[in-house]
Amino acid sequence: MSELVSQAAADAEQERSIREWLDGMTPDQRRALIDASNRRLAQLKAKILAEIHAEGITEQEWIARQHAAYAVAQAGLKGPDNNAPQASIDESSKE
Amino acid sequence: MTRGTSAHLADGKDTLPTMRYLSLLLLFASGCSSPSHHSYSQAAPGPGFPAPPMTPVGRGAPVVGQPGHQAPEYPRSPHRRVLPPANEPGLWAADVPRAARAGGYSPTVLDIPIPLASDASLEDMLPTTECAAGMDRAARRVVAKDALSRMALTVRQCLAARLVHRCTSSFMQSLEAGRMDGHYDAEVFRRWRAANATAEAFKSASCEGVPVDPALEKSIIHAWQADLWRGDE
Repeated sequence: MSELVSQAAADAEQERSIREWLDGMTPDQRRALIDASNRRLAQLKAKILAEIHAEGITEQEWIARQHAAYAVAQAGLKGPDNNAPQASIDESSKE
Repeated sequence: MTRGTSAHLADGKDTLPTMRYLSLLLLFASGCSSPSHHSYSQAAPGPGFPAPPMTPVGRGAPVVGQPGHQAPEYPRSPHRRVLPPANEPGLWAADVPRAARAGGYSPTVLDIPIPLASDASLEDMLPTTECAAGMDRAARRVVAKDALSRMALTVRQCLAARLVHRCTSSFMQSLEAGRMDGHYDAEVFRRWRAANATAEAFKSASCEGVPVDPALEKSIIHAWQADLWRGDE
């Protein structure tokens, strides 16, 4: 690791960096960026809907699965005490 | 006859106290049973006395003398008591989690699960999922596998949270800039704003007191930005 900084310093640097990034783009480039993002989101939605359809579940059930999967994954990372996370992740638990 | 009469008189002398006692006893008994001398604290049941209400099981002993008659229950408070989540295993803790059993997944960055807004619709979940997928791809190219395994979980979670927030924040600011240019889609704006708020909350919860490696973060951001221009995947 290189030099470590505080969260506040990192946040300030992040804000400056985003501003610089956006300022370096023309309006058309920004528009193209958003359009590309919207296309990716539409593709992602189509993929998820296909998955929902294949499994014969509702959108609400799929959403509930996401939340349950998040809770399971978080519980897998941490022990019973949520304030005391493990020092490292077991490599064998990775998919 | 005379003898008989005198004998009767003699007997009458003997039975007089007994008769007096019997009279007093009858008088006492009739006095106690008279309605004019009622001294009970409870009203006597009338001829149309209704049946006592049913006493639910486990509601305690009935009042003496009138089974089922109890003081009315106090009205319940409309304010429900919200209990904090317990760390104890639940009733179904031994079951295989439904999400895992059914193949559900949660977006992750460097194996850190990324939270989605709790009341989100499918469309609302897309920006976070998109950001997590993009940042995970970039981070895995930049961070060496052995370095990742050596990274403390708190540092890794903070890095993942910062990367997702960086993504949502970048798109939010792009949308705001586009709005100034006259391009505005309220629904898209709302989704990204919700995703950004969730990402910011996750970052705040994950990064308190955790130092940041700005050089590493910058390298991952550059890789992610390059992917954005590389086209749709």
